[in-house]
Amino acid sequence: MQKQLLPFDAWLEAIDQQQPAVLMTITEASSSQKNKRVCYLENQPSIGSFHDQVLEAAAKSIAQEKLGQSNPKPESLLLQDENKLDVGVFFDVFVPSPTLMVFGAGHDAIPVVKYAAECGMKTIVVDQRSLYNNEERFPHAERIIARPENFTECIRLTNRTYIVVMNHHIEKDKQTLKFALSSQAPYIGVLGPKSRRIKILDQLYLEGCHFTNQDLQRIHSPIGLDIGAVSSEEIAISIVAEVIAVRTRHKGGFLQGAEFIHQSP
Amino acid sequence: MMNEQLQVISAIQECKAEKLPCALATVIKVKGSAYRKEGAKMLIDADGGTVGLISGGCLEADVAEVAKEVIKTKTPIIKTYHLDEEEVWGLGLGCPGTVFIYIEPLMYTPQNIEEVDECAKAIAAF
Repeated sequence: MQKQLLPFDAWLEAIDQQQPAVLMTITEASSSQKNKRVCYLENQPSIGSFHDQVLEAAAKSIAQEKLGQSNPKPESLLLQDENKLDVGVFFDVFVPSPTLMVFGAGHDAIPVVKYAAECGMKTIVVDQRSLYNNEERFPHAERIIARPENFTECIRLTNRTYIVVMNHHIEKDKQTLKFALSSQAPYIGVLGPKSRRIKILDQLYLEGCHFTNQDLQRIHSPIGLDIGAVSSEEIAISIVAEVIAVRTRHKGGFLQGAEFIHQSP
Repeated sequence: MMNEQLQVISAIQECKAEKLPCALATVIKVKGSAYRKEGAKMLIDADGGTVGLISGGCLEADVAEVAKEVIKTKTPIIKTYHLDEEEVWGLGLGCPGTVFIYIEPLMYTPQNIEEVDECAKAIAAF
């Protein structure tokens, strides 16, 4: 019993420090193996042991694979131990929350940041205007006061950063898009119609910025799901829904007539 | 992790800080349709008070009762719920399918924390 606390505490600590981790628990096995635990950590030694090398190696390779996925799911799997007996292992997965980074602190950014925060995303607002980009308007968000020419030194983008560009300023949007495309960000939504996107990309092309098709596929513009949104709040729902759909690799249409609600990973 | 599930983690940390015994229920397998998927968690204290959701509201009360026993026996168990929509439809239970829930004791009592420290020391010495 007591040994279980150690991997579990390591798991709690990983969550506390926003470090990716997989907690593996034997749920179906002989009574001597049952409830044994291992906490698999990224780039660190695991905590705990199954006392079965074959089983542990198989489980760790699954854990490693899960941490490599963009949106890994917890699941129970049947593995084999060194005596070739089936053992049920539950893999609980923690990965840090995705970040929604909104460029532009206008009134329409307020509900986007609010809904994203309510959905559990970490939110960051980037705008040089402290009059707009302040705590009163964005109580849930981290705020970065920066001009586009300082983005490279002030902002860190990762493969878990989802970007929304809504500066309402075509020059700023262009510079922001250029910055965003140079990162690993999986989603870059740009507010405005298709004609505006073309104008921005043409400008960047003339300035010598050449992007691959793969780069361009990350750009979602017009932004959002097609729900006929008009008000700022409706548009925010459409944007946040699109971010969720991209993260979970869903298409974002109606569920009516669908065979399954969730896709298999 | 959703905000509501992060609240479960905070609640565990609180129990740990205050050295209160509690139990953690985790959805480990779902067959068919279910409101909550694998990994969903609920923390239960010794009085049956809960934080977090493991279903659409139809299993929480029963799991909390089982969890109180788990806290007493200090032994983890797996509870299986078969929710047949045909049978339970009339009760308004909107969560058909089979759900497997792992319910484990988290014994953060002073004595146990000492034992764990001993164990950690032994591992460090090794």
